[in-house]
Amino acid sequence: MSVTTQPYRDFSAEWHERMVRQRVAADATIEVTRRCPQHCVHCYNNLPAGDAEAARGELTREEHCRILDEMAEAGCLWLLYTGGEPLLRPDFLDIYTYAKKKGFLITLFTNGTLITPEIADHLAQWRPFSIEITIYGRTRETYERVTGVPGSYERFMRGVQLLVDRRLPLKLKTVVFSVNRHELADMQQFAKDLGAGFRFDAMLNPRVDCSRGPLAVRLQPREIVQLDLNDGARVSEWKRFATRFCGLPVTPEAGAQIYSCGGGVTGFAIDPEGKMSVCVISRFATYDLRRGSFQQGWDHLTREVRGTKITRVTKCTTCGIKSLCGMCPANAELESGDPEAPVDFLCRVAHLRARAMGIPVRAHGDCEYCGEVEAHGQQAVGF
Amino acid sequence: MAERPEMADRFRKKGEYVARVIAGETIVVPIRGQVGDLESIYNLNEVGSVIWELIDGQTPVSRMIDAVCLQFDITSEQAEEDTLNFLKGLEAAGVVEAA
Repeated sequence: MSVTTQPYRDFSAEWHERMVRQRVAADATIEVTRRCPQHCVHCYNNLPAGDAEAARGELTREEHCRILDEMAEAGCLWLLYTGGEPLLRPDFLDIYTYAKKKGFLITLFTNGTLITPEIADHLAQWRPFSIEITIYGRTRETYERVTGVPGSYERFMRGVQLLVDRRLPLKLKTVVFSVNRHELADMQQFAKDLGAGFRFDAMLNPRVDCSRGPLAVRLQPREIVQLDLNDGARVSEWKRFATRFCGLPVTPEAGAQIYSCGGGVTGFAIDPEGKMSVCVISRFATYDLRRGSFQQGWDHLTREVRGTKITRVTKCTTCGIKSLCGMCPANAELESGDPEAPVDFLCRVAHLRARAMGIPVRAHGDCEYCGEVEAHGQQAVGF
Repeated sequence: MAERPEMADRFRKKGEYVARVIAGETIVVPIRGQVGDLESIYNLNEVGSVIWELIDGQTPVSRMIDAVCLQFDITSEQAEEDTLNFLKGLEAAGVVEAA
């Protein structure tokens, strides 16, 4: 007999499989607050930092601790703290440290602008599994054009440096849209120079209240696919993903479930007011953790939400390139209010992506974009 | 019982850890301090879980072996071998040190 110490990657893959089999509530995302000192035009959920009504509605520190106790008891291991800006709450480090002591593997999403030497020291002492800071631009001009806050770029840079100085596990990420796309390569290089990981996403959602403000700055489908094509590793990953998850047809008669992701299987989200859902953008059949226990909430998600069946055949139900698409019930709800309605924008991106990468698209009903693929053949063209 | 000249008699944990039982497995998560490899997860089997609870800087190794022998119905020789291997593994990983 011996103790086994595993590299995290091996441990994570093995344990995730086990958690899925046993339906353990292993992956948590907690939005500590929706308030944020920045006013980013593309954000799906931010509220003003001084929004007193939002602050009054947020879970208290005691409520957070009670929920963390119950989550730990249920077997939750991975915990993502996000917002809004989590560090806006004066008691966030108390909540965070409580969670650390419970043995969660914590990832922290922050914009970095509120990090002080004291906060960085605390994080160095109670080390998170990962810290991910969003970079909105490589230059002050672009960064502050996105955030709308003068001086935010300097604060961001200071926050990054404080974490780097302490060798904390920092990663940078960005959302690419019309305002900052010209600085993507420079942002990537900045992360590389720091020795930090980097990733980007170009898919913007409507806001969680279904308003469509962020879509005004969303890139066009062709521009999004071009970003993929600029990155060989990204193309390889999409191809691997498309092969692995080729999307078997589903039908109402077969009792197919509306959700096919990890939400409600191992994953769940808790919003600032304690509403539990399958993910941060899903507002479908939430459970109020102020009125019941975490276990009751998890049972509700697995039974009521994950158990929801599709009601009709759409071009999505027989689509074989779902893995190239961001379509999900939560996204569809935000776009149209109908969790089963295809999202035109996502469909267009997926077909363009397939065409550009030479990924076969099988016929899947009345889909206007399949015609475009057929017209160009199944090979990469025109990019 | 055979003499263990190269082995300390008592061990303590370096830093702070939390042992968690999830899906029937015990894992040890480092929570504080620059000890061991904070990006690693320590996965314990049943015997390891029993010994882990006894690593407190006070309990002698001989008592750990007795506890393993008692709880798992194995010979004292096997219990000693398992216990010492386990402690050596933890020591090599930087998780415990001689008290």
